[in-house]
Amino acid sequence: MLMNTIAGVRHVDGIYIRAARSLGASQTTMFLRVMLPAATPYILTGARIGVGTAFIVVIVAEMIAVNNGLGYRILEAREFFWSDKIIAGMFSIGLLGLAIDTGMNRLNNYLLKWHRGIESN
Amino acid sequence: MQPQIQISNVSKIFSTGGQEVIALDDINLDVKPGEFICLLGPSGCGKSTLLNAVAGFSLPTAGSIVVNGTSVLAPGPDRGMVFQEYALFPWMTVEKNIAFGLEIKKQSKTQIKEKVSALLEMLNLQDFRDRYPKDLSGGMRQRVAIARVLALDSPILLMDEPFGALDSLTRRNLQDELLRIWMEFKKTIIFVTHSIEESIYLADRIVVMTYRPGKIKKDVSVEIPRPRDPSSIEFNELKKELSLLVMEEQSRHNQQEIKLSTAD
Repeated sequence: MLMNTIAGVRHVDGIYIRAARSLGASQTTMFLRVMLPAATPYILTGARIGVGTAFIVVIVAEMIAVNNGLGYRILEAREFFWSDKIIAGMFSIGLLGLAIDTGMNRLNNYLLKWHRGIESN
Repeated sequence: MQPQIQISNVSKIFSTGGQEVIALDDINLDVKPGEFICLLGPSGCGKSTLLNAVAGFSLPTAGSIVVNGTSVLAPGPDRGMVFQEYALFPWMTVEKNIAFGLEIKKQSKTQIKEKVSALLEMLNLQDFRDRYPKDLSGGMRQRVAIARVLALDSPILLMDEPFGALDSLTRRNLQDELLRIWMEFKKTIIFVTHSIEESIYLADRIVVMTYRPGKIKKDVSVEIPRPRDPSSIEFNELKKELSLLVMEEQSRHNQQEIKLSTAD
């Protein structure tokens, strides 16, 4: 995510910076009101991938290392042949994943309402 | 009258890949307050370079540019810049874009609101106040860009082929509006264009530039009274005269390009 933010800030079109400078923007204004918003598409892409990866990593970590959490419960159920619990666990993971992705998507659409369709121009 | 913009002995040399290109060569130009100047020439003749130097984006290699008695060292809101690519901030609404410069100046909210409303009305943008630039046509975007620099009350407007990307009807429309604004607010305008007709339609003075090195080839005063009729005899006589000058430079441009491509 940090990498994406850096890439995003680096790729800010020079014309916005020139326009902001000629309108008298200071360094702080430039960063907060020009660089950061211009980089949001990159930042959010990074965030979406980052959150997804983090979710998978958490489940796997629960399976291997801790004795609590969704991942652990599924493994535990496997040992005792509680297939109902295994299936419930699988569904929970799926639904949580979906919820997280939908949430990120909503955030994306909200923050980038100015951006939608720009690529098609 | 004291010149408002004083360009003295300005040269600009770019070095790209070990090769030196003289973009501007010993340019001298004085601009009086309230004057409308067009820089005319083929692409690559350094007219945009000169404008960027006045704007403070890229400083000259030699010589000095003095605006209102102070040397130009950096961009500033006293010289409002309008770009061909509009350069509106796509993440801000039309209203926010216009207010940006005023917010930097730390004006009060009511003051900003009043000023933005007046500008929206002047440029017929009332219905687009809360829209994002992506929803606007090219002509509308350039109106917003003009409103954004007008908001700053800068005495000088620098325009870099602002209407170059517009269709001819929108273009004429915006030219008329620009003239109206120029007369109403008594701005000093430096306007870069490669359209001969546009320069005659707009300017008090047309400065024709040569292709590499960029020098001033001719400084022509346009005496035709406004509003100017592009089909009138005087208009077309001047157009013919300028066409010859510009085409000379354009053919030098072509020859040099052929030379360069055969050298490779």
